[in-house]
Amino acid sequence: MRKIASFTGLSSAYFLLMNGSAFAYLDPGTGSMILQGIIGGALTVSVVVSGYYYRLKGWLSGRKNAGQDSKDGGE
Amino acid sequence: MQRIAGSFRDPSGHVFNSNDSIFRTINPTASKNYEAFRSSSVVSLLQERGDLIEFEEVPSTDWPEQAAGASYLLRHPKLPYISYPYEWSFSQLKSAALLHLSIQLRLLKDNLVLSDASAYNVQFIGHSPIFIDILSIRMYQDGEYWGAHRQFCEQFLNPLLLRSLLGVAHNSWFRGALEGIPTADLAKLIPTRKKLSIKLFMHVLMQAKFEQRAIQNPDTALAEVKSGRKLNKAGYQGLLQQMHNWISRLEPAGSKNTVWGTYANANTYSSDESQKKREIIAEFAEKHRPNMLVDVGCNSGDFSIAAIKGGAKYVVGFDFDQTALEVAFARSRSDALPYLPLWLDASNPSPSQGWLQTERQGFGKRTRADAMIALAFEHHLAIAKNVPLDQVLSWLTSMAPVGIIEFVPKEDPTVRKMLSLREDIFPDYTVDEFDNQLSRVSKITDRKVISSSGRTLFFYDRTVLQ
Repeated sequence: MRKIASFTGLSSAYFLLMNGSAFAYLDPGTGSMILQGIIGGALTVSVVVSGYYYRLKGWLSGRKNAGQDSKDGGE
Repeated sequence: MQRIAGSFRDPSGHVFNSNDSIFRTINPTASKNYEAFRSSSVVSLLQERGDLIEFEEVPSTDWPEQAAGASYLLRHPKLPYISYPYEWSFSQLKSAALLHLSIQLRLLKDNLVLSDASAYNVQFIGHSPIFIDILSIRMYQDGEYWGAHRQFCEQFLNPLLLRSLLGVAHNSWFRGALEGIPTADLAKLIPTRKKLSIKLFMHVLMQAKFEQRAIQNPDTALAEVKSGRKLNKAGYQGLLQQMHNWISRLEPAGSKNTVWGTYANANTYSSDESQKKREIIAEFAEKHRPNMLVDVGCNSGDFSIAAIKGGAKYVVGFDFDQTALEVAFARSRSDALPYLPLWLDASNPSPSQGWLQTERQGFGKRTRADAMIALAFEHHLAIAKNVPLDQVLSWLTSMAPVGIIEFVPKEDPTVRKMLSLREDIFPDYTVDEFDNQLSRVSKITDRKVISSSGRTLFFYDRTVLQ
């Protein structure tokens, strides 16, 4: 589900990109920021959906605090 | 108190070295961020987990003159050994990456973030990664991007992918590039069949393309970033979580059989001899009780662990073989040992490098121990790399005042194999010459023959006047 959501947005963006290389004075993180602007929406959806998923899972298993604060980042 | 050369980049403060502690100044521009962090619940949580370096504020009445003008002065405990990401095995880099992400995820809950993603901000105490840079913690601003995403990719993700997708260890490239593996470079190496992964497509291929496009049309790219959609907090969290899930599943490709991987089990002396050697190392450690012992050529950690059992308080091991290091690190982790195995090409150790060639210290400057062992090692320099014996011995003995060095004679099957396809240009490679050269730089306190082929352990002591 998450994969499909990200893929739809990304595949359209990919074909707009161009090739070539040149040097310019620019913050090296610019590419990463453009990327985040595009995938941010899809990631928000995935977080909201996984939030509901864990809540539902918690409710079904009778555990209220499923998925809280684990050391390995499974938050 | 001496300023650490690597801390020049951050205007928020500086790091200083003293005999028994590390000090960190926090300048007025960074004090609000520090105060927000200090008053949050995340400090104690991270410290209880052992994820964050301990710190205490030094009262201004006790400040040295170098701290003048700062808002705060923090004292940190000194770490046993500073290591760099290009000296870590795959699993060590992976555990450092996961620590960085789990700290970010936890900080975000308290509206805090990490301002950068430098792998050098993670160090190891034995098997455990620990985050050391308090100054890179700052307040989260609504809608901000994960500003360190590019850096995270270059310093953590890309080196891990290099090994995981292509089976190439990150160490040599990272050591050369120092700031990690550029996304644009990695993108060029990804085989077509691997390009179908969504995450790879996003974080490597797309990022590289956007970077390239931004370089071609910088004004358009800047306008796009400024006017573009902001990343909300859930999106930020999603990005971190996605990266965490991805990295936690990465494993090295084709890592089962490296050249020396099975060496510890398939070596050329019997297990009785190996057991005897472990006992000797444990006795040596018991006698000297070193706070720090280095094991040069540690392989999968057998003798490092013997030294710890004997009484060495902390051991740093070095080896060239990636699989052996993985095994050693796994043993350290599973038994919670004070043992840090690191990657080292002994014929070309980590140099002093970076800005002014002082930013990252070389192996020689960092590696000073109370005791050292180099077992089944010297022939890899003296025979395989043609390093003269006297240089091998003065290099090894320079690391610690006392130690044990094993001599492997030409009659030993290992050396015979090494010489089987090449001319023997080592007429002086004999036990007598070894003895003679070691006596020039130290006092030999004992000799023990430990194999039928004539392998001999030489005990040296540089502190005894000759």
